[in-house]
Amino acid sequence: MAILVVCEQRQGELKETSLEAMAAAVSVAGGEKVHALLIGSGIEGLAQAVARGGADEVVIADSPELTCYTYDLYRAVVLKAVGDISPSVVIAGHTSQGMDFFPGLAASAGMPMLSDCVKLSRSGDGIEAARQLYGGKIEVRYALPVPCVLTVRQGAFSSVMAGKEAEVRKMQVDLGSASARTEVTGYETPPKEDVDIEKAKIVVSVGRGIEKKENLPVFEELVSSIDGAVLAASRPVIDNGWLPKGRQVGVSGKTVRPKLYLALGISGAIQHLSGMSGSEFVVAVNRDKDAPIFKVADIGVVEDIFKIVPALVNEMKKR
Amino acid sequence: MKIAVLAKAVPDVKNVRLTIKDNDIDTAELNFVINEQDSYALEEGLRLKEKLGGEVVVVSVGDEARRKGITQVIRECYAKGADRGTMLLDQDYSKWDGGVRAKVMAALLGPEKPDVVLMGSQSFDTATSRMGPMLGEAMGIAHVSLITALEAGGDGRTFAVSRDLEGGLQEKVRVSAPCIFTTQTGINTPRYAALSKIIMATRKEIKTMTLEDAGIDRAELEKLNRVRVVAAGFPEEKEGNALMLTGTPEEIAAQLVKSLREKGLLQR
Ligand SMILES: Cc1cc2nc3c(=O)[nH]c(=O)nc-3n(C[C@H](O)[C@H](O)[C@H](O)COP(=O)(O)OP(=O)(O)OC[C@H]3O[C@@H](n4cnc5c(N)ncnc54)[C@H](O)[C@@H]3O)c2cc1C
Repeated sequence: MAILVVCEQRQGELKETSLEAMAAAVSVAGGEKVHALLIGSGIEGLAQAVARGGADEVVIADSPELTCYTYDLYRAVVLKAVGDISPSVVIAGHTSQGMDFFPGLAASAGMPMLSDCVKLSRSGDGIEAARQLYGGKIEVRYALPVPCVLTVRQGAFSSVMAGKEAEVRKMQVDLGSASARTEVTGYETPPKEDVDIEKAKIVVSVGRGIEKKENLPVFEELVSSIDGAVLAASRPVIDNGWLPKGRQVGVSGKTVRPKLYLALGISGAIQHLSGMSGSEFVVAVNRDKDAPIFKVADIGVVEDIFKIVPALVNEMKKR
Repeated sequence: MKIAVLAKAVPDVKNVRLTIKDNDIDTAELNFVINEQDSYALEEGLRLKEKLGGEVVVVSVGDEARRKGITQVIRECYAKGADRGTMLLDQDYSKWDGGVRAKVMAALLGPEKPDVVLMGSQSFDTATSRMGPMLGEAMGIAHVSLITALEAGGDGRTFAVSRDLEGGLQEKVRVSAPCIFTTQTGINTPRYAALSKIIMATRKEIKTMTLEDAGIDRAELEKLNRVRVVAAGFPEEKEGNALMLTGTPEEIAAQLVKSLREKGLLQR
C-alpha cells in the first residue's frame, strides 16, 4: 500500500497547498510510501521542491497536452498513477482546481471522497477525517474506508522540510483515446487598483453586516480617523459592487498581514480567514457571539457595528 | 435549450444558537431557505433562457422534514421565472454521502436531457463542492466549476466561461453542451421576485417523486454510501481566546482605543 499526493502547479509555480497535502499524507502514512504526482509540461524543475516536502518518490507526468489543467486529461493521468501505485489514500489540496477535479476523479475511480478536511488520522483499517460545516460553526468527524480520496483545507496542515532524498521517476504519459472536453484559453489577472491593501499597516475590513452601499460612509469615516488605515472587505461586499475587487481580502482576493486588522460585520468563513489570519492583531465586531471570526480575534466585541463604529469615531476624535 | 438548475433547501442559521442532535445540527426549529449560491445559478439559468429561449427546470432533493422548505425554494424559483420544478424526497436523504446524492440527481436529470445544468459551487450547510463534478461523472458530461462569467454562443452549444482561481486570477475555459456549471457568488446580481408572481407561484404544481419513481435501486445506492459520520460537535476552542469587551458602545470604544494605543497599534 502507499499514499498518493497529487500536487498542483500552474505555469511552473508549485502551490504551497501541495506541500501541506504532503504533510497530511506523511501524518497518515504509517510506514506506507508517499508518492507525489506532478502533472504539467516542462515541470521537472519542481521535483526537488516536492521531494523536500516529504515524498519518497516523485512521479512526473510531463506532456505538452498537460500544460493547462483539463479535467479529462488530468483524470486519465491520475487514474493511470492510481493503477500503478494502488494507493490506500489519494490526498491533495482543496483549491479551486482541487474542487473541480477530485470529486469527479473519486467517482470515476469508485472511491469515497471527502473534501476540505481539517484533520486526518488512521482509524482501524480506514481513515478518520474532520471537516467544518455551517461556515465553521460545526465540526464533524467522518470515517472512510480505504482506498479513498481526501482534499485538505488550505493552511490546515503545516508543510515540513524533510531533508530526505526522493527518487524521481518520469511516468509514461499515454493519453490514448482520452480527449479533453474543456479547453483553457488563457488566464486573466485582476486589474490594478488605486489602493494597495497589502501594504497598509492598518486594515479596516467590512463584511455583509454593513447591509448596503449607502452605509459605507460610516466606515469610511472610521478609516479617515485612523492614520495609515485603508478600507477593505469580504467577498460579498465586492460581489455586490459596493467596493472594487482590489479591496477583497481572502483566498480569491488579497492576503494581508497588517499590524492591526479590524473585522466589522464579517462572519469569518475560511476563505476570508485565509487572507487575514497572518495579521499581527485582530479586532472583531460581530453581533453573533458564535461567529467564527472570534476564533482568530485578539479582541472581540459582540455588538452592532452601527453602534460601535460611530462610538469609535468619537473616541478617536477626542485627541 | 433545456436548462436544469439544482436548488437546495438549507437550514437558515443566521442569528441562531446551534444545538447538536443525532450527529448533525438540530433543525427542528429552523427555517429552510434556498442555498444562497444556488440563487446565482438560477439567475444565470434564467438569463440563458431569456437570451436563447427554452425552459428552466428546477430540481431539489431532500427528506420529508424539508418538504416545506423545498416547496418554498421551488416556488421562489417559479416566481423568478423557472418553468417547472421537481422534488425527490427520501427518508434516508440526510444519511447519503455526496456520491449517493450525485447518483440520485443523475437519475432525476437523465430523462430531462438538459443542455446545461447549473448549481451553486457549494452549499452553505456542508460546503463540500462535490455535486457538480460528481454529477458530471454520473451523467457522463463535462463540468466547469466556480464560474464567474458565462458567455453562450448564439447556437447555445458552445460556452466561454471564466473560473475563479486563487488571488483573483481567472481561468478562461471553453466547453460545449451538454455540460454542468457551478457558479461562484458575484457572477450576477440575482433578481427579486415580484409579490404578484410569488402569489401566483403558490398555485403552480411541483412534481414530487420517490426513489422508486426515479427507477433507483436502494440497495445499489447503499453500496455507494461509504462515508459515515462518527460525531458532530463544536470546533475546539483555540488557546489564547479573544479578550471580549463588554459595556455600553461608548465604554467599549474607549477601552478598545486605549488598549490599541497602549499596544502601539494606533499612531495617535
Ligand atoms: C471558492 C471560494 C472563494 C471565496 N473567496 C473569498 C474571499 O476571497 N474573501 C471572502 O471574504 N470570502 C470568500 N468566499 C466567500 C466566503 O465563503 C463567505 O461567504 C464570505 O467570506 C462571507 O462574508 P461575510 O462574513 O461578510 O458575510 P456573512 O457570512 O453573511 O457574515 C456577516 C456577519 O455580519 C454579522 N452582522 C450582520 N449585521 C451586523 C451588525 N449590524 N453588527 C454586527 N455584526 C453584524 C453577522 O452576524 C455575520 O456574522 C469564497 C467562497 C468560495 C466558495
